[in-house]
Amino acid sequence: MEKAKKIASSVGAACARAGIAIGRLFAKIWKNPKGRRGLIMVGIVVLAALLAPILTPYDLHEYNVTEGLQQPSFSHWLGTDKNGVDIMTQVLYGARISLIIGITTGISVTLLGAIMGIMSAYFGKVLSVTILNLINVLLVVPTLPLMMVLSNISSSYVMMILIFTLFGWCGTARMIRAQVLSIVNMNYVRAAELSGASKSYIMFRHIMPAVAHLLIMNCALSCAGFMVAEAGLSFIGLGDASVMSWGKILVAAERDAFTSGLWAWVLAPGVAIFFTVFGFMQVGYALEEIFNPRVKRKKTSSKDSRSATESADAIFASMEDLPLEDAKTLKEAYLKGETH
Amino acid sequence: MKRYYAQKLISAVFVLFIIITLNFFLPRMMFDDPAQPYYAGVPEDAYALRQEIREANGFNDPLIVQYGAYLGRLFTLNFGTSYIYKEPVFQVMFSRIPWSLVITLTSMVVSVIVGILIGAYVGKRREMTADKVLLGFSTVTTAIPSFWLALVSIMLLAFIIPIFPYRGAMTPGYTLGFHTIPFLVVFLLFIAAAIALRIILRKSIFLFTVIPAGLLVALLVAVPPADVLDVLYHAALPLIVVIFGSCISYSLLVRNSMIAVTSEDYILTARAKGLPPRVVLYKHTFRNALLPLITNVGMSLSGLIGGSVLIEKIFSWPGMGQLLLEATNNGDYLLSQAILLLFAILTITFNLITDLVYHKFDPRVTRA
Repeated sequence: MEKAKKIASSVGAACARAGIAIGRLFAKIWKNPKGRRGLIMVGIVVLAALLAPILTPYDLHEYNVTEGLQQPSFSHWLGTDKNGVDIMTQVLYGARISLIIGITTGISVTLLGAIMGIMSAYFGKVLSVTILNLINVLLVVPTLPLMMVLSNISSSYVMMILIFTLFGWCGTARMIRAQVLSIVNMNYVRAAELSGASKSYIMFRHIMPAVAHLLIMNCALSCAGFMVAEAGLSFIGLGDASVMSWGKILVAAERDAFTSGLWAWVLAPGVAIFFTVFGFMQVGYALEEIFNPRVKRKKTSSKDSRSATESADAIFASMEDLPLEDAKTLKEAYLKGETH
Repeated sequence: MKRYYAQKLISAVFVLFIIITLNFFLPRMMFDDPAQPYYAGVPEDAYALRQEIREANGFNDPLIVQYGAYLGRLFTLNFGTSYIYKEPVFQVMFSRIPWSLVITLTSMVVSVIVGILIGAYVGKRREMTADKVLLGFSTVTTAIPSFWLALVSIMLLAFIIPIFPYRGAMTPGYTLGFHTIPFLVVFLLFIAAAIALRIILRKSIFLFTVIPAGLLVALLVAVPPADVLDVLYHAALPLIVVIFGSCISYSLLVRNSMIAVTSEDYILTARAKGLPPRVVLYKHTFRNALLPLITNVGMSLSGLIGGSVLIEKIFSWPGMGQLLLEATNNGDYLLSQAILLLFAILTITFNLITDLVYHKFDPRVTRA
């Protein structure tokens, strides 16, 4: 009883700590202009997905063939498809599957990649060689064709998430491995080892936090990537047949919209994909700037904080238009420290 | 040095072996009855006959024996007969390769050249308008899915302004004329010339430039000009879409690598010792900035023959990607197996070649 209480309280504390950390992170993203733009865009899509039944008076499965293939009008903002289903409704409901697949796959790929990457860098020679070879194989396997073959087994979207995860983690793992290799020899890891901490404890408590920023950033960007992949797969007919997705709307649009001139039908799903993906990518770039401030400083304020090499660069770059003699005197002047 | 090559080679062979094994077991896991393609025309309820066919094709043997037989067939390039086309898989596959090449090779050559030009131009002008435009443009374009871009291009250039065809590789009813003998004569002449130049002038560059040029000239000689124009006319839309995407990514790559190289110490040294800026730019910065491009182009070379499934599907282009889609949708696993294997072999080979070529240009990599 005592023990259970203790565990419960420690779990509660951990959750609270994690909650505060996540809250702080979001506050930081919000302060970054790119991050704010991204969060707003993603927020709009999430709201649209959640509130789809409220936002639209139509139903996805309500066929009304007499109202098929209509041009955009006041009652159907984006027109209707062949069966008379409102396209706006389809786009709104399509956001659900896109977000579900994008976010779950992004997170699971990042986690699997992180664990594999850390294990290959930290857990002995045998495991390291095995994982490295596995990565080599997976990087060579032609992923899309294999996915096409595998989706013959089951076309449910859970299967799609599984396949994406199984074949998508190696890029993350390689990146994390490189990073961990440089951390493993740091003093604090050595100290933890000497004080008798187990390898898995060190992995989760010391190494994972040190690469956490890379993981979070990678997660946002891979969410975006997998959303595009999902749309592409459902476009070639490998998606879940029972769920509406943006790729599927485009399949129908490719068949019917061109000949009947319903341009909004072709444009809307693509704009939706673009909007969501762009939002996630903006969040990813914002995270990159937050965790690695060098990226931003390089871009914006190089004028204020010029190092010696940078000012040398600037001076020599300006030489490119000068005749050689002038350039030489300028260089000598620089070396004597006469120009700044 | 030798150790480096040996290591690469061993890991390539290992990966190939894994993929062949995977390739063997996948259809046996996926289908209830892997002998399905052999039944052509045999009714559902003819159990005895079906059993006989299974026996004759070795499907009743233990898996390990089947696996051995599969490996044996691979070595004799016997991939079986395609279920949809009723022709040898090998033949079906190789008739599609040139069509994929039309799109992939053309778009790659164009976008690498344009990418280098734009990247070099922008890389020299960091923080200026051109740079900002490229960066802003690329953040927007990377978020656009290419298959949607293809649909929009069809909408704009085939329907709203109907200038380009959007389906197929040739006008319906036409077939490609091809004179084999002139093709072979011209191509062999060019190969001979390339080898002769290599031996006389001792520059390997001739092998890489004269032979592809020879292939192009031979194709132009062998195919009637009207057919060439017809194919190019049909390829216009897919080419525009593919080139648009890869062009931007190549120029971004060159731009970033130019900037990274500019801040290297050896560039500072070159400038400090008073080399003319032109020499610093072309001999020191530009040459080193192209190194990452080698890896990138090498990796995408393996995709050349594979083509792009999405683009080929949208434009009904009769390439390999489309073939793979047909094969998987119709359960023709002998065909999809062979295509997967071809893709894997190409990827492995080109990765190996890329590693070796990169090593030649930048010997520093062995140390890492």
